[in-house]
Parts: sequence; C-alpha cells; structure tokens
Amino acid sequence: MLTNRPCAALRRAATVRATLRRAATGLALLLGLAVPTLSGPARAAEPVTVTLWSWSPVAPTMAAMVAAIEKAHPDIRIRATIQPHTAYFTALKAAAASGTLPDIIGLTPGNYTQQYRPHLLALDAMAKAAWGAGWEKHFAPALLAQARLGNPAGDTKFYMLPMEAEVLNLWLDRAAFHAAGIAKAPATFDEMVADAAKLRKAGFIGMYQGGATGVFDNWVYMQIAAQTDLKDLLAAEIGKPVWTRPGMIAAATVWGELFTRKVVQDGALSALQYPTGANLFAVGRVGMISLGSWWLQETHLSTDPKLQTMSGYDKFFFPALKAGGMASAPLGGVDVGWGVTKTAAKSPAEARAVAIVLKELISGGGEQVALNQLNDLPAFGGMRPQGTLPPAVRRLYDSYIAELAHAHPHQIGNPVIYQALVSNLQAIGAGTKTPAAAMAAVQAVAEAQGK
Amino acid sequence: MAAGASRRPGLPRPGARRRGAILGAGRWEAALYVLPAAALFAVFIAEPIAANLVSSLIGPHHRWGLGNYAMAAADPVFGTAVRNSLLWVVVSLAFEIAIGFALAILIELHLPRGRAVFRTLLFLPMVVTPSVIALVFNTFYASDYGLLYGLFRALGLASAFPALLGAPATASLAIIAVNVWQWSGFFVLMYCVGLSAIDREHLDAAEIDGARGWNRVRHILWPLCRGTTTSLVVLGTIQALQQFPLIYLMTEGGPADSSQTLATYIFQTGFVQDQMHYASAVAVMLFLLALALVAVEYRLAGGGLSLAAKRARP
Repeated sequence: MLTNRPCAALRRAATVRATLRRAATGLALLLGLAVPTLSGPARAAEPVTVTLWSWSPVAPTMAAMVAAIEKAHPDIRIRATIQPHTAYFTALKAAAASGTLPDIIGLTPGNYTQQYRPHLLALDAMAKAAWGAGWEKHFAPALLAQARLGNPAGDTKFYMLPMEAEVLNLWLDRAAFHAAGIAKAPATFDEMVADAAKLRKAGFIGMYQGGATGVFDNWVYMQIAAQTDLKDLLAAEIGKPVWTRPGMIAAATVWGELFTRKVVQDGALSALQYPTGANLFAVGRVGMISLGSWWLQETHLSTDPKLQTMSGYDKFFFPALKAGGMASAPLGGVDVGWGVTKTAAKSPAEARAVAIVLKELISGGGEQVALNQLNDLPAFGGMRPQGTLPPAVRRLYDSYIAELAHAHPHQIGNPVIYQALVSNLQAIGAGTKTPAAAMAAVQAVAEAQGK
Repeated sequence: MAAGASRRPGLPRPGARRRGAILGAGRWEAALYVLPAAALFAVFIAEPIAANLVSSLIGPHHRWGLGNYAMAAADPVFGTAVRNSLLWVVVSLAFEIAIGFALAILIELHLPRGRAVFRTLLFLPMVVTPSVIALVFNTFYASDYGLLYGLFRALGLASAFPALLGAPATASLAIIAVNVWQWSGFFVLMYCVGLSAIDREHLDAAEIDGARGWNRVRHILWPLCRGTTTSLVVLGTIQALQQFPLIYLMTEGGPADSSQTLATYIFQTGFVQDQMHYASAVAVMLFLLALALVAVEYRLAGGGLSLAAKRARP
C-alpha cells in the first residue's frame, strides 16, 4: 500500500494539473472573448498622438499652446519637442535620413523648407479644408511668397504655412541712453557712432553685436543694404549674383565701419547674440542691439517690470547713412511656419488629427496663446492678442503690425551663399578683407551656386 | 633572456595552439564568440565608414567621381580647417604633455602627502561638460564684461585688452588653451600611473650614479615613461582632431572661418550648408589624416602603447 501512495499522489497531482489546465484554457478563452469587447470602446476613446518638433515658439509658450489645443480636442494628444535652433535642425536632418521625422515640423522659408521638401506634404488641400476656398486671402501675400521661396520652377504648392511673422529692427535701452545724455534714437549713422561713444563712456556697450551668431551679422548687413541698394538685396536673397554691385559694397563698407568706428563692442566677432547679448540687454548693460519684433515676448517671459511693460525700451530702424536721408525700410517676413511630413499620413485618423493641429497652430487656440504671450506677430489675418496690453507694448505691437504689411523679405534662400556672406562679413569686421574683396568672394560663391 | 627560451619543453607554441583552435574543432565555437563583436563592428563602424566613402564620391550635380575632393582642394576654408586641425594636434599635445609630465613628477615624486587630492582636483575639468566649459570661457574671454577684461581693467590696461576669440589670428589658440586646461588633468593622471610603476630601485640607483634634477628627468624618468607618452600622443591626437563642441560653442568656426577645423567644417558643410556629400569627403580626409598622424607617431615612438612606465631590464 505504501508503494501505491506515491502513485496515488502522482495521479491526484496529475488530476489537479489537468483541472487547472482546463480552467486556465477556459479562462483564457473567456478573456480572449472579453478582451476585444473591453478594449473596443477603450481604443475608440484613446487619443490620437501628433508629434511636433520645432525651435520656436519657446518651450513655455509651446507648452501652453499644446495645453490649449488638447483642451479643445480631447481626442488629440500632442507630443511637442522644442530644441535650440541649431540642435533642432541637426536633429531634423538625422530624423529625415533615418525616416523618423515627426508629423509636424517647424520651418523657416527658403533654405530649410526646400531641404525637407521631399519629406513634406503639399498643404494646399489641407489649407482649403481648414479655411475654405480662397484661403490665401488670410495671409499677407509677401508671407505666402516667402513660404514658396525656392520651390522648383512650376511648383506652386505650399510645403510650409506661416504661423508667425517678424520685423527686424534695432532696440534701444532708454535708461542707458538717459545715463549717457542721449535724448532720442539716432537719426543718422554719424549720430549712431556718436551715441555709441557716449554710451561707452557712460559704462555701457554702445551697440552689442553677437558677431559669432551668423544670422545676426547677415541681418544687420541686410538692414544696411536695404538703404543702399534694396533692389539688388532682394535679388541677392533669391540667389542672383549681384553682391559686387556698388550698393552692396557700400553696405559692406558701413558694416565694416560699425567695427572701425567702434559702434559695436570690442571682441564682437566672438560674442553670441543669444543668450549673451539678449541677457546683457535685458539687464541694462547695452545701449543698442539688433533684435526684432520677437523681443516683445520678454513682456511675458521676464519678471522685470521694465521688460513686462517695455516702458524702458524703444525700437528704431538702421539710421540714415546721410544727413537728411531716410532710415532703412523694414525687413521681415515669416518667423516660423509649419510643414507636415509624409509620415503624418499613416492613417485617416492621424491625418485628421494633424490637420486639426495645423489649423489650431496657425489660426486657432494654439496661435492665440502664442499671440497672447506676444511670441511674435501673427501670420494669419485678423488675429490679435487678447486682454489689455501695457500702453508701450500696444504702441510697439501696433507699429510692428503696420510695418509688417510693407516689410521686405529678410531670408537668403541658398545656405551656401548665406554662409559665405556670414564668413565674409566677419572677415570685414576682423579687418582681414576689404569690403570689395569680401563681396567679390560672396559673388564668386553665388556665381558657382548658380551654375 | 629570449622570450622563447622561457618556454617549458612539451608545451605547444602559443601560435600553434591558436591556429589549432581556429582551424580545428573549436573553429565554429571561436567564430560564435567573435560574431557579436564582429556584427556590432560591421553595423556601427564598418558600414557607416563605407557608406560615408560612397557618399563622398557623389559629386556636384550628382555626378560620380572625385568631384568633392577636387572641390576641397580648391576650397580655402578647407585649407584653413586642415591647418587648424594640425595646429590643434601640435599645440595641444605639446602643452598637455609638458604640463602633464611636469605636474605628475611634482605630485608623484615631490609631494609628501595629498597626492590623491591633487590628482582629483586636476582631473575635475575632464568631468565638466564641454558646453558648460564653452559658456564659462566665452564669458572669461569676453570684452567689456569678461573676467580677463576685469583683470586688465584693474591693472589699468583695459585699452590693451586683446579680443582673443574675436580676432582671426588668436581665436584658434584661445580655444586650444581651453582644451589644454580641460585635458591636462588626464595627462597628469596617466603620467602619475606611469611614474608610480617605475621601480624605486632604478631611481635610487640613478641617484647614486649622480642623476639628479633635470638629468634624472631627461635620462631616467622621460625614457621610462615612453610607453605612456606614446599612448597619450595617440589619444591626444585623436581627441584634438575630433574636437567639436568647444570650437562650435565658442566661435562657430569663426570669425571668418579662422577657427574652423575639419570636425567643425564637416558639420558646417553637412548640416548648415546642406552639402552632405561634400561633408562626407571632408570626413574621409579627416579619417585619413588621423590614420596617417597616428601611424607616424606610432612609428616614431617605436610602437609600444602602454600607460605604465617601461620596465628597465635588470
């Protein structure tokens, strides 16, 4: 009997195991039936995720925009990644090469939009669905023209749509001017030189130039060239080799004088516009600086009342090069726009969500949040910041809106020409090239690019 | 005594044993062990190098050939980048070795206590991220509000303050100085390892023979640290050639491309100017330059990479 015990035990164990197996199988079947029933409605309620990368608007503003859009559309989740400008475009390049681009990407017109055009959807149909036939009337013609800058001949489609626009200008710190005994913004270049000297004597940086940040070198030069030869400047922006025209060289000469006549600070060519220059200007160490309409965002980003109300600041355009002349005409255009990548069309639900987010970013709750924080100027007509703005901010904002209407484009479409201009402007600033030689070098690059 | 003479009779020769393992029964097993590393090497190193090489052969207007290399030969910025890359190697290594060796001697042979503290302090810059270092030294060098400027002003020399990063002639050297500051601690540490491995008896014997001071450094310590120096020269060369963050964050290769090196020029041409094939060609040339420099250094040093000091024969 004793010998049978283990056998009985084994049999019992086998019976238990078989029972458990049957129970498990039954449970699995039940669960198998139940899972689709349970998960069906849950899946239907699951939000569609839209991925978005950009360098602008700044991260806190983008977070508020995302919250507003998600609140209005609970079935959509936005995963937004905001990176600094250079890091962003580097990441974008790697993502494009590896086929991992997000659904929506922030773009500037010209160079960057054209680089990613093969990965982008034409947005015409999406725009028509969002804003109806004749949707173009909602955007200033100049902004739409910029959005298509660099498209191949005959390709009239839009691969990016502008969200915000900007105007370039010089800013001044009233307190610094007052301390230096200067009553108003310089009206001529000679006054600007004199003001810089007074500011320097009073312990300020006359005009801060972040010469190591190439885009601001180009923008200052272009603001000068807008006065010396606007026609050729605009031609040069779209790739025409006109850099050695007298007006373009004259602008380069004035650019050089910013250094030789000590308008900009010593060592300007190693200085950064962001964060150093903007920070120094914000804390009152700088008299003048080249920034633009986006500086108004400091009213929301800063805790300093002087910045919150903008009462301590004013703006002006590059002063007349000759007595009795006019200041430079405003340059500006698209600050940031959005492109939709081909990866966004994975499913109808995703495509629908992306279209909704795009509309919200440009003309809906998203852009309204950005506008309320004065991130920059709206590209979509009829939008205005909500709430009451401090008087100085309102005045500055309104004047920007008026200037944007007739601002000339401020982007150089070809990246190689852009870089050649940066390098040669720095060479002029460093005194290693004459303005004529530097512009000849840019001309050679532009001609080579045109071949 | 010759190495072969120490082998006991009856033991297989090491070479023969290895051949047997590979060609005999253990062949597949050996291959299996090598496979993961070989696969990783193939996917993450060999393939990208090959792809880069192929990419470099796609010239302007998508024509196959050596167009990008011809373009580089005529590109003045490429020439500047090559010169600066070599400057980085020579100046960085010269200072890092001199400072590293001198401080290591001071710490290892002349400090009665607290060696670990000094080694740690000198090594600290190595653990700071380059972006922080770049920001700090940008401010350090800055005119008007920089630390160095403050020093000049305090001495009444404000008008003589040199804008080191803002002048083409000095921009590269100013960044190299930062690199030397960051990396010297590593060189000190490695030389400390090398010096501490020297048999005390050799130093005592040298002292009895009258080798002191500079003679001891020149004829005893320096030759015995040759293995360490060779290793550091190779590591330092590679580090100097691949330096990117300090240059990019401090000057973006400027002013007027004067501080451009091959590493930053690859980034500028590929990511800023959207000329990825040209950037690939520059990358191939950087690879060849690194290979050539390391080969020359290795040959000049007579081979023998080691972090420990060379052991003198009894």
